[in-house]
Amino acid sequence: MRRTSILLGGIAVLALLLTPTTGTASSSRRAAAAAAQQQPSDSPALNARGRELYENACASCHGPDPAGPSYYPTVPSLNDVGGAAAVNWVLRTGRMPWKDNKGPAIERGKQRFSDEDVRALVVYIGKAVGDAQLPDVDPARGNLQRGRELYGQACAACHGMNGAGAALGGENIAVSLQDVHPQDVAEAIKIGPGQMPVGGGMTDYEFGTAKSQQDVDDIAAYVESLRTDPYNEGGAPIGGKGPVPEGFVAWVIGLGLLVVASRWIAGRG
Amino acid sequence: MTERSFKYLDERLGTASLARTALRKVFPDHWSFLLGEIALFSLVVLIFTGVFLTFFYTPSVQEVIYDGPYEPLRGAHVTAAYDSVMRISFEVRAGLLMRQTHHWAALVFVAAIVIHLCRVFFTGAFRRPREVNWLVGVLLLFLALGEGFTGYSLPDDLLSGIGLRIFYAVTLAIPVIGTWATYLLFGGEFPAPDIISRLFVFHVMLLPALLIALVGVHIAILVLQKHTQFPGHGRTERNVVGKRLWPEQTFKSLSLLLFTTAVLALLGGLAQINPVWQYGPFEPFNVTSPAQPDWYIGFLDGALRLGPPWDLTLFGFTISEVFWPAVLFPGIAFGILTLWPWIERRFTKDRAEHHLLDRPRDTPVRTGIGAAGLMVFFIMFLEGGNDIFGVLLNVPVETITRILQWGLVVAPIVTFLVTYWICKGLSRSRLRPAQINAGVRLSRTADGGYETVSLEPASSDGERAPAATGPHGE
Repeated sequence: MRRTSILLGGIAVLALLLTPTTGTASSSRRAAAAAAQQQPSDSPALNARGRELYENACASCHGPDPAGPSYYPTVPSLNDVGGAAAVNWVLRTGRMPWKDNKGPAIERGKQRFSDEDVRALVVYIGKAVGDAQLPDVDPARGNLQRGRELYGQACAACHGMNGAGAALGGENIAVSLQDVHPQDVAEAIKIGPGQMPVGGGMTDYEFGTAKSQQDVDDIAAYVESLRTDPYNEGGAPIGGKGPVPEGFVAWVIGLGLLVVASRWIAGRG
Repeated sequence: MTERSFKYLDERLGTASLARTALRKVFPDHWSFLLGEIALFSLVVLIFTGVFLTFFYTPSVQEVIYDGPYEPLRGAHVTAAYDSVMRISFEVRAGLLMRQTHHWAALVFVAAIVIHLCRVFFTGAFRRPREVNWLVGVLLLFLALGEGFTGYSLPDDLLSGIGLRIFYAVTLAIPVIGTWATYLLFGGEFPAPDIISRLFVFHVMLLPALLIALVGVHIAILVLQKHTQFPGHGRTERNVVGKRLWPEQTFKSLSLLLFTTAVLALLGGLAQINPVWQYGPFEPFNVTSPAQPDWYIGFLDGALRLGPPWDLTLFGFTISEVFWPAVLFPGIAFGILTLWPWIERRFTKDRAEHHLLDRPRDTPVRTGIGAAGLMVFFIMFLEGGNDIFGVLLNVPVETITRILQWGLVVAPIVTFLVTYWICKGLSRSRLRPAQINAGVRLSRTADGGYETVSLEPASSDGERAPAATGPHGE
């Protein structure tokens, strides 16, 4: 009787572990990103709001003038980081303001400013450093097949073909792309954050040209297909990180259940 | 009708006496003796699902244009092999279920072999007269690894192509004959056009034929030699206490077969494995991260990642840094594994026949060595997944590698000492059942009286003899 319940418990655990999880990305973040996707309109009120926010939240590290040097040598001057695209990217992905002020890696987090405030900061800093343009991206314009090929050549070596992400050495991690918005993709390609090369590894990428626009749209189309993934067949993806978690499941759930079954079947002896 | 056909067969083949002996064969009851059966039944599942997959798989690197239902790949140039695996996954009815069940069965198959090997090792079941079956078993493990690796490579997806590339480099690193052997095996420079069709022949013909034949030998030897058993009440070196093949053991095995099939089919249906459509076709200029082999080859990948960058040129031959971790280390490790029964005998000088098993705690040195060996493989396996554990634990991969390099030196020694110490403690403690008085047996004498025979607890070398304590009841 006790063994029966162990076995049933095992099957229940199996069922729980293997239940496919749907949509990890929060819909509110996606909506916020969609709102921020339009080019910021340049109103004096917005600019003033941006200045106020900057002086309150950013100036103590980045310096009083976004276009000037920063206060700390380890903090990048905003003149060098990639203008409005970088500001939009770090603020919307929650990388800034910095959570705990320690460690070299800035991790993704929750967006801390409201969409309106993000837009104000983007406008103010973008104008101040003279690069106020956000990249334009639309997966619907992209070619999915070409996107897959470009992604394979430029992105997969770090982020993985299925966008699961991996450790890169040092403190660097290629983040998972399975829940990022197309705008994040386009901005990251433009600014090249962290270890990522500007242009995302595409050698002839030049921001603002028609060819690069097509490349970005194509890649965004493929990354979007990873996020929405209508082809996630075959059951629970167990992390989507390949053979290591698969081996773990084979040992713990597969062989585990069979050993429990063996103990159940065999007498005491 | 049945009776008549039995009679017909018996008159010609003498099956009745054979069957009588076979059906009366006694199997001991301990659950750990079923671990080998899990491997056997996983093999059954592998064969059935594998045959199904063969119906639809095309072992060819001929270029075709993918036009199946998977949108991101439509119009891509892929090999016929990859194309057929995509067809199996998305178009053949039950194809993905069969493919996934096959793959899960492979992972569980090798896992069951390993844990069965551990049982045999730690209980000393490999001792005389079972050394030959130990050899057959180790050979079966090799064949299973070969089956696994060739199967992993067949879909010709990006991940398996990366694996083949590493295998190519490892074969090249064999001293003196490396280049020659690589060209012979691959049929040219990587990625050679012949490799997929050759892997296919290995995977569905040569290796399975050997595997099945050797499983037959493995079981035949098991039937010829009586089964081992743990020491306990009424069990001696000369008997086997347990259940007969018919009916008890047959139904137990049958239910384990059904359990194995059920668990593997459940995994195949519920848990995604090797989604080749996500990896895409193999292009030599692409890589994907994280990239790992299936778990049972993981130690080799880890060894490569841990290995020192030592290049050596001897008499004009270059010994590459790949040689030490990927050729020399597995060569020595599997050499020790293969020769273990003889290595152990050299030190214990124990040439006696053994049918009673050791309890692992009673042989602390062997148990310690086994645990240390497992630790070596475990550390290498961890290193093989350093990029994944790095993200999981938020630790840089270099730190993991540095820790595991030291771990490789320190951990086996610590493991041995701790295991030895635990075994010694357990042997001394009251938990040791062999020291519990096994009770008395009543035995009838020729003249009709009774005598009690006390059963001595098993001594550490496994010898047990009933000692008469004198006649009673006269």
